Amino acid sequence: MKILNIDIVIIGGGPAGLAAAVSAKKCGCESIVIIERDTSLGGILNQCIHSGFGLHRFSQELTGPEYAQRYIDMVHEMDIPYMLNTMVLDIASDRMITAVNPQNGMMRIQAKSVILAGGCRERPKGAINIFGSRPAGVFTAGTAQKFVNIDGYMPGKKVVILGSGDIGLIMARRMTLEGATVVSVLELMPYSGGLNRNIVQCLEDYNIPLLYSHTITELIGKERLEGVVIAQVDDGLKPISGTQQTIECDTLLLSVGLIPENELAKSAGVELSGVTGGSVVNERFETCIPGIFACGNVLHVHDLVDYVSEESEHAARYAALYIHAGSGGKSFKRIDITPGNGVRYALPMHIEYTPLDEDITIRFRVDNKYMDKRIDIIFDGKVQKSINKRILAPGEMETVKIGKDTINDAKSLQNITIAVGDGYE
Amino acid sequence: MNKFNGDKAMNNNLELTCINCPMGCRLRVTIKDGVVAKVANNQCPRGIAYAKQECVDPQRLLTTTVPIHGADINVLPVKTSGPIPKDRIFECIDALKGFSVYAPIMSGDVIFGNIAGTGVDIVATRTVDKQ
Repeated sequence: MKILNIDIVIIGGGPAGLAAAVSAKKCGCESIVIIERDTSLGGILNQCIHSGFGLHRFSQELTGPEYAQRYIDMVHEMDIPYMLNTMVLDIASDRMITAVNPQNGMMRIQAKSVILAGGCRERPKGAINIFGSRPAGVFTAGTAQKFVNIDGYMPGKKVVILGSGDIGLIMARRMTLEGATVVSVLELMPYSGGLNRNIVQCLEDYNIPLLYSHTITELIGKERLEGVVIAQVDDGLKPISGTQQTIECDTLLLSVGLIPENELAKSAGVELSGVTGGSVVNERFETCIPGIFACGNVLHVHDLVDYVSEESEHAARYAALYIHAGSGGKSFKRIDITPGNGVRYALPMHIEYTPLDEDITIRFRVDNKYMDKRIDIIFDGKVQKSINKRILAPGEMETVKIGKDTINDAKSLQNITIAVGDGYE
Repeated sequence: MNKFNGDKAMNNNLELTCINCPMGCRLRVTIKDGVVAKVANNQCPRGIAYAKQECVDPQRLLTTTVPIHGADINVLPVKTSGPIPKDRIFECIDALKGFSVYAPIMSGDVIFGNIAGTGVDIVATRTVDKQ
């Protein structure tokens, strides 16, 4: 089998892969390829037909396909090669990629640098253990979204939605606009993981009830779903006996979590984080394997595509640098970045190459809803800087920026911790 | 339901979530003598405009799909070229029933002008090649 030699191979042609490709080309790389398994570029944005994308990046409210089209147009203008209908089967630790498509059959591509941009998958029904037989009519919200917005099929007529994250909220509205009745949206937690604007424009606008602290305990129906049994949950998220009710429906949409898709990363030997489900990376978005980078939802699940683009451009700049300069920093001193009190994870997980060339952006999520708190940036146990925050929520990724000089000047710095602190001033 | 009319008060304080951007600022609106007198807790000027509009004549952008022939996808994503009155959303959806388009289509193409007499067009949001 002939081996193709390509400098930068980008796995995934969604928003992360597209932004990475454009950035790599702008850095002077010519030998690039985007490998996409679907029939067109655009990734998940193709089915996100609603608006709200690009407010930060383009100062405009775009729909998902429009945001994708901006980058697809740049890829075409810049003549960046891409392969569609192509599935990557394996990435070896020496960056040899095995892929397959109908035109070429099996292919082997030796990459100098790989950018993992393959996005995430939805947590399926099997992972959340709802009692019942397996009637038709149970879909993950994203699958239903694809049926409606790409294939033109209605998954059902009378709908219950489990999960009030943005995908669940968006589908509540979408199904209603297409003529279905959305009976109820159920949320396990006492708060929603979705944006406030979506509670208003997807639920309140259509008088769709949202029940907090509820879950589904049983599916009713043999061949096709006929109803769901719901129950209130306690502080430990366990169903409360005696609170069960049956809701009649023919369709259940599950919006219960997104999981970065990292089977390929695992086969390459990339170290993954148990918290994010994505790769452990340094400030260059490089994984533990030199020359393999990760960005976008495959690294950690984002709320705003604008930040996916920013992150991916950054990763691609360093993938391009790696091609020219190899994995080299100047002096090597690793600084760990750890989540502290109230913080679920922080990314990157460490700074590898010091002194820093660029300011560093740390992205993180809190583990609960907090009001009137501070974000503390802690250098080796001492608070270096505090930022007041009125509202913090797990569903809203936060960022802090630390200047490169601040870190480079702290000669004995070994640990940066990001934590939620008391005392809003 | 118009929040303002629903509250039936010429003088009132109410809370609205602004939907202009993902911030979702929780606006505090003061209504005096039937007019929006004060808007607080907005992080940008668009919040003030939103509150004033929402209390009098709520508007929304509509995004939906329209069947497309001759492409490798079955439906084309579309949007209204501007906001329409919230209470006319289903009228616009119904006006599109039975309507379909043919590839090729460019993102931005007007595929249905002046939907339901709103003065707003339906435009394509995806570029789709002919198959």
